[in-house]
Amino acid sequence: MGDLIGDGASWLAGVQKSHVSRLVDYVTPGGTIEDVAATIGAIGQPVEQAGAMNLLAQTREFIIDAADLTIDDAVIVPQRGHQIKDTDDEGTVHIYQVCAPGDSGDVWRWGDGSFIRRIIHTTRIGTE
Amino acid sequence: MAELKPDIMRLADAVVAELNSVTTWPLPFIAKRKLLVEQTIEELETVHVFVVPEGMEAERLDRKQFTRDHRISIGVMRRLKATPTDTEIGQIVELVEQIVDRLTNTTHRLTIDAETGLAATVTGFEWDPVYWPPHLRQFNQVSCVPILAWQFYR
Repeated sequence: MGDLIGDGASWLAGVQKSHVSRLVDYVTPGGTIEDVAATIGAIGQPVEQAGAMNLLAQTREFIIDAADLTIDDAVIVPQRGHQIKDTDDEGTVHIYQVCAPGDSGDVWRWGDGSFIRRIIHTTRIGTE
Repeated sequence: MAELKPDIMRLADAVVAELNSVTTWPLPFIAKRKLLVEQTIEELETVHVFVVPEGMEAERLDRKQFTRDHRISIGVMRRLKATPTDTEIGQIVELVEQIVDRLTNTTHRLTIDAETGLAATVTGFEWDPVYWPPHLRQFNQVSCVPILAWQFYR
């Protein structure tokens, strides 16, 4: 018997990528990967406090195939400071910076047990 | 009807005026008095300084007198690029130190109302933590919030 769960996860990832994704640009200090298929995951608006100051953020997860994040055949592992540029229907480019939400310190996690997709945590930092 | 302005708000306004009168800060900013700070991180590419009336504390000195401390928070916030370096964080902490130094200068009394001679001076301050680690870890955001206690004099 083959790896049913692995095959299923791979199939599901393919369906998600082809039917529920949009093209974004992934920006690193070493270069930009253009037109990467990304599925939008959880969206949040956490409020972080610092004494009397409230800091408002817009967070968004991008789910991207690990195999799609490569520059010159080198695998790119998401890191703080990387950016994802997402163009909306009106042509506005929204910039999301890779960040670590909560207390974990992790900027990404695997989206499945077969290590196909990465769920990348970001926060919106503005538009172009 | 004359505008009512509580002492603590007049104090906050005087702190704002004092901070904005200085042109030699190591990083430029325009201080603002706010009652409720709700700041999106998108807007924090430059240094933002918020002066917020925080609260009051009173202590009875004797049967006839109270001392009353007015606490004012000063929020200094800036989002940095990528992973912030010690130098970048240090620049903001240095700015906050200079702000606190100026306001706590013992020879300096802050004029609240020149007509009535009302003035205030700092009796103490609290600045802990130096910056908020969750903001730095999550958003590359340096947030420093010293709280200064003031007493009024005439």
